[in-house]
Amino acid sequence: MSQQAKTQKTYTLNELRQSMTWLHTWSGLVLGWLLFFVFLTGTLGYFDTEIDRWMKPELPPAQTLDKSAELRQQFSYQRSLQGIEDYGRVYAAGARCWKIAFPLDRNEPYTRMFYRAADMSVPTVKDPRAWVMFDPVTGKPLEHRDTEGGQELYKMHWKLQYMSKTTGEWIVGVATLFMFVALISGIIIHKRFFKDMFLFNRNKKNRSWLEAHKLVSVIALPFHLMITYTGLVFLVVVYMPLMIDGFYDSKREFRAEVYDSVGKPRPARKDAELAPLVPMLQQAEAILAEKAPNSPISRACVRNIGDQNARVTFYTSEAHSPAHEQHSVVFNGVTGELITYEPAERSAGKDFFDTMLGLHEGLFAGTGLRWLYFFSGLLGTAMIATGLILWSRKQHKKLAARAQNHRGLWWVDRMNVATVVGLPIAIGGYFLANRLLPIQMADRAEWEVHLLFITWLLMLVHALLRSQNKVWFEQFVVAASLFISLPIISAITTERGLVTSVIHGDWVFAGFDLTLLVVGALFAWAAHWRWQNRAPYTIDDAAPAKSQSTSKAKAKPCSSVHAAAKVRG
Amino acid sequence: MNTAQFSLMRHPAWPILSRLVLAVFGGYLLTNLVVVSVVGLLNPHGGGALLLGMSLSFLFYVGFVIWAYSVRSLAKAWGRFALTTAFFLFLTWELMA
Repeated sequence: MSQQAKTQKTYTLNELRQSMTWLHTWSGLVLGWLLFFVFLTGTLGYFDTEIDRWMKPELPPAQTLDKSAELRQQFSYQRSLQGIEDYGRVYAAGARCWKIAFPLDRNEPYTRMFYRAADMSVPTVKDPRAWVMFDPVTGKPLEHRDTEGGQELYKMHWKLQYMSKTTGEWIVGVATLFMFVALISGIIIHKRFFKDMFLFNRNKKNRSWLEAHKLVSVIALPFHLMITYTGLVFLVVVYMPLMIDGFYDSKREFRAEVYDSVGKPRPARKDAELAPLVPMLQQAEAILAEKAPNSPISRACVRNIGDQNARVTFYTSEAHSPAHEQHSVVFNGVTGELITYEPAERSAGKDFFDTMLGLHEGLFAGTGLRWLYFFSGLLGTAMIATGLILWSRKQHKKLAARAQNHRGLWWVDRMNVATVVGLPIAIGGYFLANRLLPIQMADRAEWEVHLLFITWLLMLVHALLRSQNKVWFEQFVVAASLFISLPIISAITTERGLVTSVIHGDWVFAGFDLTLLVVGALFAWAAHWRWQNRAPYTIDDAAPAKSQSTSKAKAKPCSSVHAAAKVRG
Repeated sequence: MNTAQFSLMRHPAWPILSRLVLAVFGGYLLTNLVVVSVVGLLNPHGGGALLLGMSLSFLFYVGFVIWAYSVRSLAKAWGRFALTTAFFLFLTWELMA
């Protein structure tokens, strides 16, 4: 190192890029598999209620107030709420909460109730926790198979599975931070990306993984940045608890001051009868008609049922804009008296926070924007997949040059296939379990989830047992067969097959089945491509990419580790 | 100073590990101190400003991680971090007292 270089405080641009390459590679690689899981399950969340509907084929096609003029004529908030209240008092007595939703739009396609921690000592209470759907017109409960549907699938993307929620949130939080660092450092490495995007040559013969990685990263870069940042903001109260400790005695106190002040008290542990809900609804409607016109009530929450501290809150929909605005009216659940009206806008901080949440969830998105969200999420998933494969390829090239073998790389390759193809197969397994597990089976919903992870584990075992030049092909074949057979199995086991759905114009079911077929066809194409390009393991990447940009952003993780160590040491 | 400390610092993984600790844990500490002291200085009414500060804190945090990897000398990076942290620690201390 020259004397001049030693006295320099900062890196030269090239050195900086090398340091950023190191940071990008390792922050991406270390948590890449987890991030792939988070991105894929999170992306499916943009169609969470559609997945719910497909996984509950017994329910009639959903009618929502925004789409169906017929329902608008027949629907009555009072009748629906009364139906839920009658059901809840018998089957969900003493619950910690009843979360009630009205069929406003695709976010809430049915009148439904979710309850948890019901009092099992009451003889009529069968489940401590359940989702119950109601006929939007008659208010009678609808029967459907026991499943967690799309909700559990998307919730995995931030709380993971088989661990406490807090543990899952922290693991995902660290991964998300690494993702954010990988994105920023990736931008610094690849400074000419706007120019390169337009120069991308589709006809290049040796299109490399690097170019594929750059393409999928850059196309949806604003989305990747937004979704990563807003993901962190979503759980800021979990990730930055010390900031709250600096000003408040508890998170609860902070939450009460910033968003939900009076609607969520702790139970008083003194029994008290819940007052009738409909008079409160009428009062809430009158208040909201004045304070927040054109915002229909979307939800109601009844908390601490049967307790002295019962509260009933009515909320307007937050889904009409990304700002996530939600007005609410809170009542004392025992006396039925109005406690307060809470406007959506309370402070600049909350407005900002709500907008970040709104952008992340995309509840406001109509059909077109929803698909854009979905494809952007898939591009993010592809960005992680191509990054993982790219790293492995480069290592192979380097090791081949030195005629070495490396145990760690062998594991990375196995994990790559078991994640990139194995996880989609596992999700297909989740859908398959939904159609094939006996309807009356005990803990059916839990077993659907178990089967997702069992399938994934099987794919990992397969990846470990088979030779690398066969394993991608074989998993692609499994994925293709699974996704193509899913609509067929669905048509056999339910009365909502693809043909029936198309005839009835039921585009949620038809769209779901068609998407499965497209995914299956893509996997079949991948299997075909893999078969044509089959080659012995470790030396299958002999042809280096000739593009100019490739040589500029040469990522050499191992060597740059050593270089960086030399520079810093 | 004992020799064990020196041998640890001579280990080839030391610069990488040290910088990682600086970026991740140092960054987390400094981010907390900056947000608490800035919000404390503004002393706003209600919790909205704190929520805003918390939400923006990730930008500072990620910026710090990138900075930690853009300074050539590890000792200089730690030094500047220590000075900044000491300043904000003092500020937080004064505000909380």
